[in-house]
Amino acid sequence: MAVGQGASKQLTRFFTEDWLAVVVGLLLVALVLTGLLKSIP
Amino acid sequence: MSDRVLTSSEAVSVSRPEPGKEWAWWSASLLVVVLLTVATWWLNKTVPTWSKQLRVIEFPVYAVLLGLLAGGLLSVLGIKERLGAYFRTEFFLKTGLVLLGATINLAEIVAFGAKGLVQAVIMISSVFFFTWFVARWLGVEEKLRALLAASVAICGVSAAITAAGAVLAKKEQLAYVTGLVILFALPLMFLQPAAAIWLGLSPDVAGAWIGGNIDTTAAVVGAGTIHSQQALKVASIAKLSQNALIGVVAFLLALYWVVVVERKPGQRPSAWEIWERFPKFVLGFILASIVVTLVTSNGWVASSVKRDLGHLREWFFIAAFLSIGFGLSFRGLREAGWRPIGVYTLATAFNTVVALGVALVIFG
Repeated sequence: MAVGQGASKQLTRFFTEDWLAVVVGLLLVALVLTGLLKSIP
Repeated sequence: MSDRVLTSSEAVSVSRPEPGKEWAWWSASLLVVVLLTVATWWLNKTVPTWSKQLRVIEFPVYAVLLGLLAGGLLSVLGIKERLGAYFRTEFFLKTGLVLLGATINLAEIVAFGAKGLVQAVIMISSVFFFTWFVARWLGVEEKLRALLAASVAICGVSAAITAAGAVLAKKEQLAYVTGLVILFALPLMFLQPAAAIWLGLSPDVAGAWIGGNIDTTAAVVGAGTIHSQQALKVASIAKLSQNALIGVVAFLLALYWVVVVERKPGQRPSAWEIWERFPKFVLGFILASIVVTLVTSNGWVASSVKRDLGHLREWFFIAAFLSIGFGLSFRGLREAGWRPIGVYTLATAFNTVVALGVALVIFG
């Protein structure tokens, strides 16, 4: 397997929806805490 | 589309559109999800204003129904699979769970004092194990058992969602348990305060009983309000103490599932295997909870941010339940059978009696 292919496979394996949810969730928490995201209905 | 809500490899599309048109279908799918989410949010805000009884019906009901309707309509039009790309149950649910963690202030557990914590620990552990063993006795499937036990023992819908994430439940199982939670909360909201008045309980004991027994927070507030202001205050505190422990239960449940339930016979899973299969949202949940507790308790950020985080969480949960409704299989619901209803009835009866005893001992 080529190096690039291996890296891509690793990245796909790491970036499951489980992790994506953690990253997006924490990012949204950071945006709210810093006041960049507010007055959410 | 996979029937497991929460597998990380849930297929994006069953039949791939032509390469050039992929983006057009994805954009259309995103638009459908956003429009339906806004429609559900509006229903959730508007319908409870029509009548007091309707307040107990929470957003999962509207979301699943709208999702079902949209799925049926698009299926008839023959474009359900192509428009299904953004109905991502797992992503919406787990992002919502990280945001749920952010709304749980760990300092509140300490602030409520030993009484609230002792009551929460006794109630959660006794009701969880009672429900678990009754469900096992009645032959209920393991994942459904975990969802039932968590929802009766902790806080209804949120606990069912968290347990579904921890054990990788099927979407039909989550929809089923959520329906049961709401169905049982409605009569309890009116019966329990009436029973507390009939039994002559003090507002503190009545509040602790209501908060320790009724599963959904909305119904706890409703029942507390019917009894008295003091009962409402104590009931809310008791419920919050239970909610605050949801992360601990999620962590233990996820660990139990990886180490015990999914273990291959005769093999001990390695630390790496446990890490790989452990649902990572639990870490996000705990981290978000610690960060928000630290910044709000020290006054670095106004505690009002919790309201925004709560609203954001609701948007994600609405999108998750829409996705559940969109891909719901009635065969999956039928497979669950009548037994979960029997388990929920027995567990609620047990919860009611134990919660009264604990409330009388601790708050009497």
